Amino acid sequence: MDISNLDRLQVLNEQVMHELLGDDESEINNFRQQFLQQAKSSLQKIASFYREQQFKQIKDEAHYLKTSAKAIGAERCAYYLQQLEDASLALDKAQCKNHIQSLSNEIKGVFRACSTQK
Amino acid sequence: MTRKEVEHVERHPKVVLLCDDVEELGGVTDVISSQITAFRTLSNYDSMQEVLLEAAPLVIIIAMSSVSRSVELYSKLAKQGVLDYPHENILLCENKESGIGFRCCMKSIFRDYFIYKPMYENYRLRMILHNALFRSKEANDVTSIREEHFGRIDDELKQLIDDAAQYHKTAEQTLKDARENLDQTEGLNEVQTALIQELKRQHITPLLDKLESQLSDSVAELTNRLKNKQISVAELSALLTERSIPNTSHQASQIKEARVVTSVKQPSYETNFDDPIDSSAKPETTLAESRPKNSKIMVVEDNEIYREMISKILRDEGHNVESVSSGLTAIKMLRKHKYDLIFMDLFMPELDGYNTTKNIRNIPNCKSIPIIALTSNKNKDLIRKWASLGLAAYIAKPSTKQSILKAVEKCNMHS
Repeated sequence: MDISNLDRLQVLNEQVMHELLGDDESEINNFRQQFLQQAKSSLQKIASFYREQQFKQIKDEAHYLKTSAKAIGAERCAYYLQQLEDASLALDKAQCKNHIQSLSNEIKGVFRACSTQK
Repeated sequence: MTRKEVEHVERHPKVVLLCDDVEELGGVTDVISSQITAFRTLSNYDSMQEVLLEAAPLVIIIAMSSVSRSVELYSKLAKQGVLDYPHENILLCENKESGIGFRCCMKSIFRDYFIYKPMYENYRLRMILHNALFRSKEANDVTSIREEHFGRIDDELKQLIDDAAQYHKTAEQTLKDARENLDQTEGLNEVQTALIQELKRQHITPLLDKLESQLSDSVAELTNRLKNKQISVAELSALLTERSIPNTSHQASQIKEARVVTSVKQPSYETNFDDPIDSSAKPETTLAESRPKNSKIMVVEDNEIYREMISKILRDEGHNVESVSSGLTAIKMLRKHKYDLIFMDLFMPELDGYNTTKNIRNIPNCKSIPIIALTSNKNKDLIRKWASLGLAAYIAKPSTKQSILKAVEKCNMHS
């Protein structure tokens, strides 16, 4: 999955999980729900680290969430998590803020996409 | 429960005698109990496991009806992970099996052996026991000192990292306050105010920017150094732990594993089997040819969702999968159990994939275990560095079921 070009990325690419887990829809839904919970918790942590200006922690948490975002096919989320990793590595507070806001919107998008597919 | 077990029921024994016929060993148990009171005789497998786990006795004496049964029992206990602590083991055997007993010790399965049948030399047994207790106690003392020492260093390093972060935060706040104060400062008249603004623009703001940047770089550098030190300490501790644990338990596990793959039916320790020394000498190709398709696989990944996905894919194919969330846990488990293959993430908290692999390669039965790297990292240098430790395959996250299973197949074929 190339997450460098935002225009070509999907909010939720269903093919990713089908290629990983096959056609077991209940299993797929289960993992999606787990991701939404994980994303909510991670986003809160990232926001808290941002307030404390703990860039290293922001980077680590973004990297952590990026793994599951990619695994469930949340490509746009993965994109902003990568951007957030880069911005936190560069200690760029303003960019971090932008990417956290974008990430928050993308997670909401994944939530909506998951709800419509139930 | 037999008569002798009642006589030697010590809650935290330092010496245990594991046997299948207590009555046969009446004389031996009398000699041992005259040497040390913290002694217990065990003939029931569940009790053996329980006592070994709870008491971690310094010396384990094994006296089953034949040497092969003693080796089988010891390797079964080793495989279950109850022997993973510094200890000494002594084999008791009949005179007719003295040659096998000797070869077992030469292969480091047992530290020493003693002939107890048809006759035994009282003081010789007491001497062997005395030496074993002495060595084992010394190894245990070293282990506890090391654990305490490294634990303290680790705590201190953690505290220093926290202190550095706190110092950074405080210093940044001070600089922020200085900027705010400066913004609010006004002169007595317009000329003075303009002069202050000019001073601020030309000298003070660039100075504060420079200070802030230097501070940030210095703290990051310091934190990095402390974290590297933390990893080195964890590595050194893992290495020393590895060396302090007698090889005997690993050796026994390996013999047991070899038997499992060469037999159609997995033997239990209650059943007889051939001389383990002879069976271990069988050509390696026999083992490889009979390797089962279903492998025992460890998945090391800190993200529980992806970890569970990989595990599910492998389990669905019939593999026996155990998953862990950190490199340190993986190292601990690999010391206790044997695996056919490892899937490992690169970036993990505490110990990353590279340093975990370095530690794993120091574990005696893991020097050539296939490791499949799981990473989305594009840093080619880092992956090349990792690959130099011996990677069997590389999987770019999230990958596909097909690629994952292909990588497993490739590893099985090359094993």
